[in-house]
Amino acid sequence: MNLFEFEGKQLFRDAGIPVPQSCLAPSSEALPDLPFPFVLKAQTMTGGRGKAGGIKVCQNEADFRQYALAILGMTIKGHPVHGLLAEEMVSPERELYLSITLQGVKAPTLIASAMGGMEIERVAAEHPQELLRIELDPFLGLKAYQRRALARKLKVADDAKFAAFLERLQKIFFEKDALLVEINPLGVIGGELVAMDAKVVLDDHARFRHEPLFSALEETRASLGYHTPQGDGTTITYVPLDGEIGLISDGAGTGMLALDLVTQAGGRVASFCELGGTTPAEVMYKAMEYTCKSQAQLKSILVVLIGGFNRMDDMANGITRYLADHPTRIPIFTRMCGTMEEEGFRIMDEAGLFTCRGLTEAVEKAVGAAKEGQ
Amino acid sequence: MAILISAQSRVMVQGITGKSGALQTKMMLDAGTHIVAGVTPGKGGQTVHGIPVFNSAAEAQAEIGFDTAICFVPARAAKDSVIEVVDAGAKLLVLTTEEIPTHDVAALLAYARAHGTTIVGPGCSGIIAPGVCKVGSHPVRFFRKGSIGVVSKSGALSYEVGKTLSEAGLGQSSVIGLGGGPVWGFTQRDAVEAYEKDPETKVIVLLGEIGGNSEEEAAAWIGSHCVKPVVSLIVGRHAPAGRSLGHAGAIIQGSAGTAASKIEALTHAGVHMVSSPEELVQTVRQLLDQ
Repeated sequence: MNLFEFEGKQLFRDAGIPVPQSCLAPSSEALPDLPFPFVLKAQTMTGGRGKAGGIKVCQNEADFRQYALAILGMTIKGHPVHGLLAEEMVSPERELYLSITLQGVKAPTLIASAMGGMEIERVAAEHPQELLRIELDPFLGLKAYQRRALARKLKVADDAKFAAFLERLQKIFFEKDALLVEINPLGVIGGELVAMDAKVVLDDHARFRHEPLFSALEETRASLGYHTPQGDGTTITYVPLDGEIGLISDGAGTGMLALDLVTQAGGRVASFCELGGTTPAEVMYKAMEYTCKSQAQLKSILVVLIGGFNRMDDMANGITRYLADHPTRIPIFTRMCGTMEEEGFRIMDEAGLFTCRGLTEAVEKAVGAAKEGQ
Repeated sequence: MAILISAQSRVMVQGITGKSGALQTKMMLDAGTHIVAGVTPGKGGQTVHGIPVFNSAAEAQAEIGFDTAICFVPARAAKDSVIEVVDAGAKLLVLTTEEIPTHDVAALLAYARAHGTTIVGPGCSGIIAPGVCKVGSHPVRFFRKGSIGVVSKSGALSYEVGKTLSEAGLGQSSVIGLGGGPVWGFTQRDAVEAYEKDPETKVIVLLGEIGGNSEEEAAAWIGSHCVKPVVSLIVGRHAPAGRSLGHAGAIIQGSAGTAASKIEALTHAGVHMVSSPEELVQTVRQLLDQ
C-alpha cells in the first residue's frame, strides 16, 4: 500500500521523527489553523508535484483560497489530487536524502546522500559518488560502524540525537513491514533533522500483522474519495493490453511465453490473464469474464494450460459454464495438458470448442482467427 | 547424479499434515523420494502416507535424521518454520510458500545463508531429478531422465520446456524451478554453476524472464567460468513496461529488467539464445550432436 505524504508523516510523528507542523485542509473554504506564510501541498500518489504546480506558498487568505481551489481540482501525471496538506514553512540550512528500502534490492538497504531535494535516480546517474548504500542486517539493523560512515557522508554529527533518529526510522521500516521509507528532503534546521517529505510503502503481504493500521488508513482514504484498489479475492492477475487476442494462462512464465509466441506469429494480445496456479473452475469462469467483458475489439481467445496439478476437467468446466451463461461468437482456442486432460478434452468437445495439446498449434489458430476477424 | 538432491537425500516435509503437504508427500513418494519424516507442531505421533510426524524439526532430526527439507507451511508461519529447519541442521530447504511478507523473506534468507543452509525459493516448484526423485511439485509425467540441466524461475515454464524436450527424446539430469521472485535464495547463477560441475549434465538450459538482474548475473558467471554449452529462452520479451505479469519479480522498471538487457548479456557470454520451445529443442539437439 502506497501512503500519501500526510499518512507517512503521521507514522513519522507517532514514531517521534520531527516533521513540520501541518494539518489537512478539507476545502478552500476552511482556513487551516496555521500562521501565514504556510505551504499547500497536493496529496496525490505521484512525485513531481512541485513542477506541476501542486505545491504553493500562501502569504495570506486570498492566496489560500485561490491555490486551494486550483490544487484540489488538479490531476498530476494522471493521478487526481485527493487532499490538501497545509504545512508550516521551514527554512533548512541543508537538504539531505535518506531512505530504507526493500524494493528492487536483495536485502534491506539504507540509501543516503547529502544532495537532498533532487530525485535520487538523478543523483545516482549524475553524482554516483554522492550516494551511500548500506545493506542492513534484518536482525541487527544499522550497526554502529555503518552509522558512523553515514554521519560522515551526510556531514552531520554522529551524536545520540542522530542515533535516536535512525533508530526511529528503522523502527517504522521493520515494525510496520514497510517496503520503503523515504525522506526527501530531510532538512537540517538548527542542528535538528526534520522530515520535510514522507514517502512510505507498506507490504500488502504483511497486512495480517497490521490489520488495524490498514483499516484505519482505508477509512481515512475513503473519506477523501480515494479507494485503495482491492483484489477480487482470487489469485488472478489481469492486465489489459491493446491487441485483439484475449490470453488466459495457468502460469506466469507460460503466460509470458504465450504472449511472446502470439506476438512473434504476428498477433497482438488484448489482455493478459494468469490464473495463479492450481485453481478451481470458478476462477477460470472469472478469468473468462475479465477477458470477454473488457474488450470490445476482441477477435479470438487463447487459453494456455499446463498446470501440473491444475485439473483440466475443472478448467474445461469453468470455460463451458461461462459460455453457457454468456454465449459469444468469439472463437476460443484451448491448449490443454495436465491432470484429468482426457476428461477436459471430452467436456470441451461436447461444447464444440477447439482443444489441442500443442502450444504452437493453439497460438497459430488464435492468431489466424484474429486476422480473419478483422 | 542430479544437482542438490539424490536418491540418498533424506527428506523431511514441513507442514506434512496440511492438504497441500499431504498431497505433495504422496506424489514425491511415488516419484521415488526418500521421505523420512514430517513435521507439524501438535501433530506428533501421527503418520501421513506411512511417514512419521514429529512436533518439531529438532525431534525429527534427533529420532530419524534428515539433510533435506521441503516446506509447505502458510505464508505467516514461513519465517519461523525456516529458522526452525535451519537450526535443526538441514543442508537444503525447498520453500514452496508464496506471498511471504517481504521482511520475513529477507530475514529467513539472511539467517539460512549465515548458517549454511541452501534455500530454493520462496514460492518455487522445487527440483526434480527425473527417474530418481523429486523435492518439489513438478509433475513427473512431463520429464524423463537424460543429460539436459534445466533452470527456470517459473514452475509452469519448466514443465512446458521439460515436456517439449521429453517429447523430442531429450531427457533431463535435473529441472529446477526457483520461484517468481523478486528475491531468491538459490539463484540462476548458482544453478548454472551446479550444472557446470555436474558430470551427468551435458547442456544447460536457462529459462529466464523479464525483471530484476539475475539473468545478467548468471551471464557474467557463464562468460568467465562455463565450459558446457548454455541455451537460453527469455520470456516476456513483448510484455508492457511497468506492469507485473503474475510474478512479483517479472516487471520492467524504467530501463531495468528488460529482455533486451538480458539477451545482450547472455549473448555476450556465448549463450545460444532461442525464442520458442521448438527452437530450444533444435538448438539443444545440435549441441548434443556436436
